[in-house]
Amino acid sequence: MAQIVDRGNDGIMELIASHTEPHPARPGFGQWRMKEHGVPIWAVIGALILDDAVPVELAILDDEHLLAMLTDERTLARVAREYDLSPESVAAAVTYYQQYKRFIDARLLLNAA
Amino acid sequence: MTVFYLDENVAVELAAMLRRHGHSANTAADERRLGASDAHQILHAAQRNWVILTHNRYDFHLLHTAWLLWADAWHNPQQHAGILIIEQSRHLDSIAYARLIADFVTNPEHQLQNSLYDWKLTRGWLRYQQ
Repeated sequence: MAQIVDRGNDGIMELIASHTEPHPARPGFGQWRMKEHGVPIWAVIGALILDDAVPVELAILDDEHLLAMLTDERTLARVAREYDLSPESVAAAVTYYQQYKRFIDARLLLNAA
Repeated sequence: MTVFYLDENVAVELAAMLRRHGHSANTAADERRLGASDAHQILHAAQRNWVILTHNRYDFHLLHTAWLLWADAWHNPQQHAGILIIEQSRHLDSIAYARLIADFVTNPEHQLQNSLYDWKLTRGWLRYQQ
């Protein structure tokens, strides 16, 4: 998937470490959550990319579609407001998704079944 | 009036929107239950007769099935107040979700007790019992 924000590797890991953490009760990269309010990262990404017009199986494979979803400023702002997350936290969720995409995708696919 | 319990994967803004429809809504954060397992979340809600709202379709289908099956096998019927699973869509905001949920729970034909209802935009609500 295309790199949406070019922060350099150190910057990427720093952003992720600042805003995300493992879930205390559910192991695995697919279960990590935001430090703010404990929101699962998969839920933030789901709110950004899931589109009832496009099956999730296709949505997660289409880089162009994903890029459009993850850079849609209006939706990013709405999701931040609805989950009471800072814009920086939402950016961290997106960055985490870029780094650990297969794990979050697996979680989204389980939910879509 | 229905009392809802919002799982940690549901937008907290939805709680405020449900209150505008005359319902009561508690979030996992309100209850200091962030980080609790899904099994603990369902128990917490059931003990208070609160209806769970979640986007976590996979785990809550499993828990609901186990709840009914084990209660029956042990001849120890326990009720939960209902589980509502809502599909995520980037096209629906908290206002739309609140209207959808409020319309659903105020319909007297919908029996929430010990039931799981699963909503998808493409097919609407489906009720699951064991």
